[in-house]
Amino acid sequence: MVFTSLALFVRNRGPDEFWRKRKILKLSAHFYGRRRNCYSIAIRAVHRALVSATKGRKLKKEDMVALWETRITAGCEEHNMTYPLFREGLVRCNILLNRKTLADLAVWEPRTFKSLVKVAHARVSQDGLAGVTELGDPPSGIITRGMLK
Amino acid sequence: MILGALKLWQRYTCLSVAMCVPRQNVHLSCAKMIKEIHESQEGNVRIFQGVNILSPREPYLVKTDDSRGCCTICSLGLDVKHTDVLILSQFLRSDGCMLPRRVTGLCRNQQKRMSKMVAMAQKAGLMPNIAPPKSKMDPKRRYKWKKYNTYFDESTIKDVRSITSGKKGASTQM
Amino acid sequence: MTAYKRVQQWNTFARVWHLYDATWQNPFESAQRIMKYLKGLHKPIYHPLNDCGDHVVVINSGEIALLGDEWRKRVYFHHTGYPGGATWTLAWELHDKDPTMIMKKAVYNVMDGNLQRRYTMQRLHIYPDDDVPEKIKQNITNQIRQLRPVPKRLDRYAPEEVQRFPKVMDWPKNYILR
Repeated sequence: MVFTSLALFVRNRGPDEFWRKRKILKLSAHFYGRRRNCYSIAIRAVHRALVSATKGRKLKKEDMVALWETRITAGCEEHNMTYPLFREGLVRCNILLNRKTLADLAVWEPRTFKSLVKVAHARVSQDGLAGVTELGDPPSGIITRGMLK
Repeated sequence: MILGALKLWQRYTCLSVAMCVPRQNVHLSCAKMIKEIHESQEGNVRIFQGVNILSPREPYLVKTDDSRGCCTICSLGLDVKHTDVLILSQFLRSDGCMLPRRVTGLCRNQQKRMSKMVAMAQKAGLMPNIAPPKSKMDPKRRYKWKKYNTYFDESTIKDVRSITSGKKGASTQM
Repeated sequence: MTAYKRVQQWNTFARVWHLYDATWQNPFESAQRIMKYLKGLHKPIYHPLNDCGDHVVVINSGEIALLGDEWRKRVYFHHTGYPGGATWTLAWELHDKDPTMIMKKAVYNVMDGNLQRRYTMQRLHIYPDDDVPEKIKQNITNQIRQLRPVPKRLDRYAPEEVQRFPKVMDWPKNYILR
């Protein structure tokens, strides 16, 4: 923008008002009622929506983690195993799979998941962690790194 | 003289025999006298002998070789629940009363635990056959809330030692 | 979609009917476990928006067991909506009136209060004894493990079994049995 005098520069209201409002109204384009087109109402709704989006970025991750844990727990219980012992057993075997991968394995590759449960079970009962006795006898034919020593 | 004494002893034994006769058909372990009179003839001499009878529990008794002198439950390390009626019924008289400590031979702590658990089992109606006749030990014959199944938590039984030590602590504070 | 995939899909999302025997079980602890099966939390394909819950048939709900003196300490509240319409019913009184009610309320209360709850409850079938209609019985394919072992009464043991059970106590030598 070009200003011919200082007075005009002071009077200036910044960039074009239309385009400024346009940016906000683009964000509120999918809202319902006057919150879509009336600027003063739209700006409030957009602020609110952006706050929720900020909070939601974290919540979404937490929700997914909770869902994965539910799914892994369900997969573990099919093979008479508990979630904490399963994770502990995998970590001790240096099988560092995250929750997302484990949940995907539980859904799509049940046999892989079962073998993981077996490995964890063998390791956990070898180390004699608390609550192992309720899991039953450890599976046969599993060799963990600790057994080789 | 000797014969008279013998008769007296015999009568006493008979008395004890009469006392031993079980009032219930259930006291499955022992319903016999403690001594039996054996009569034998050797030439001119008739010999009367009072012979101790082995307890019927003798062959099934658990051997505990514990040097510390613990009671059986402690030395076996048994975690007895109130539903273990086969163990609890061993400490009972035929009318469902708990035997005293000098008979059971338990330590103070276990004696209390066992008597509490006996009470629990009887409230839950798990030992309806060890009871005075006509008692309502069978839950189905009870009234109101007593006719429904109830179970108990053994962790609510307090340790004898901890209670006494707690009292001591309280008194010293005062 | 191949025929194989189609069958796999059916089998994955088919509703299974589970049996739960409530004899001597705490209804409030059992409810946690039953709820899992009703909502489908026991399947790895679980998703809150995924309608994968199963049916549960609870039998012998009249034989449930409560802890300690809970039969006369637990109170159920109901209000008719009219003034003075509040009633408080003890657990044993409620059980007298309807032996399935405690179990039903226990399961209802452990579930989240969302719109799915009433539809999920429709998949729960409670019977006060083991008399289940034939139509429901023929669906059942699985049994849920009980939480507590069912205690056995002393008079249900055979006399020989009681006699041969290992003894931890013997009477003193001169003890007279009563």
